Amino acid sequence: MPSDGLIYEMREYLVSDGRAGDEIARARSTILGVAEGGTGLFDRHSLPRPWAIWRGLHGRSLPSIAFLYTWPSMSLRSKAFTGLYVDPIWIELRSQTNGSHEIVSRIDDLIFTGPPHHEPPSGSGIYEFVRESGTATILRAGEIALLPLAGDDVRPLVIRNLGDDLATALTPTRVGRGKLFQLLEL
Amino acid sequence: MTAVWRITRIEPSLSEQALIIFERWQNWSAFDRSVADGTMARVRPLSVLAHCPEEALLSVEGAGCFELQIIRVANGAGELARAHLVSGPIATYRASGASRLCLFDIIHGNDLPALALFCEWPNASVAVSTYLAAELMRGSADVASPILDTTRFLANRFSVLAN
Repeated sequence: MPSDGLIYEMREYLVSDGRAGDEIARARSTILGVAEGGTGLFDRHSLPRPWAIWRGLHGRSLPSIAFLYTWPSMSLRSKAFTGLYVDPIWIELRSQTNGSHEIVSRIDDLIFTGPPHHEPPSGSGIYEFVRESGTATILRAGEIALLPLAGDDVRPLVIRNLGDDLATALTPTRVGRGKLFQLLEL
Repeated sequence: MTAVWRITRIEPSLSEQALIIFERWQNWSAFDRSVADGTMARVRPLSVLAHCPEEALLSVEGAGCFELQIIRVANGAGELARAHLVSGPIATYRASGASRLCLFDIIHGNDLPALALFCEWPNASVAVSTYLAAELMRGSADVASPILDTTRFLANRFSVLAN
């Protein structure tokens, strides 16, 4: 089926124990412009601001930080990240912030197609990331379903806001369904 | 520009043989067109998107003994791991009769960074004995090897779909 939507890239970083704060600080330094206290690396290489950033709270493979980006095309995405990775400022920042050990131990970097326009989440909140079969997925307001182009699990990824209360999010009907994340401010 | 590959491994079942499927796009622009016009094949589980620095020369399809290794490496050690594989295990595989050897850098998928190694073996017993010999050699040579974890997948067929 033809797609007039966007490419969505979910980059979930599994970080070394105790270093989630280091990863968030490095991300802010990389993403924010110089006037905002960052290095301006994203602007220099035409990388968009992440659509959203989350910290993993419940589920497998923690601690983790997840970044969701939207791209008009994979060719633009490839050009942008290729430029970032060879930038001497990024190489120096990466080395300095890693110290003696890598902050990030492994990455799930997954590509999806999704709707052309969707308001990014804002404020705070608990979010569930869950894989649901396409035909059974009925979206409610504020939810987004993304269709994978590769990966171990090729069911649609549904991201839904569960509100601000973690206890409610962890009710018996919810536990085990998906991975829970807390939305972070950039 | 570098070609884009989607590599999928199909586990053997009652209805399907063990199969490795390669889909190839000339570059990311061709990949984008395939997404936009809806001609991309349906995604199947256990697939990755990858580049191969040296153009992979794969024919359309084949039957025999094929292997796909998904090799997870330590973050930041990708170049070391590639050099290590080329000078060590891959050289051993080639000397033992493996052919069609291609080493891919996985760009998108689960559990990265990782490499994907494809080859054809004369038969399954050569594949197993060579792997064990190379593994023993690697273990004794470098305990701190950057190669952390390998998933071996042996298949009796492979196919290539060009886009």
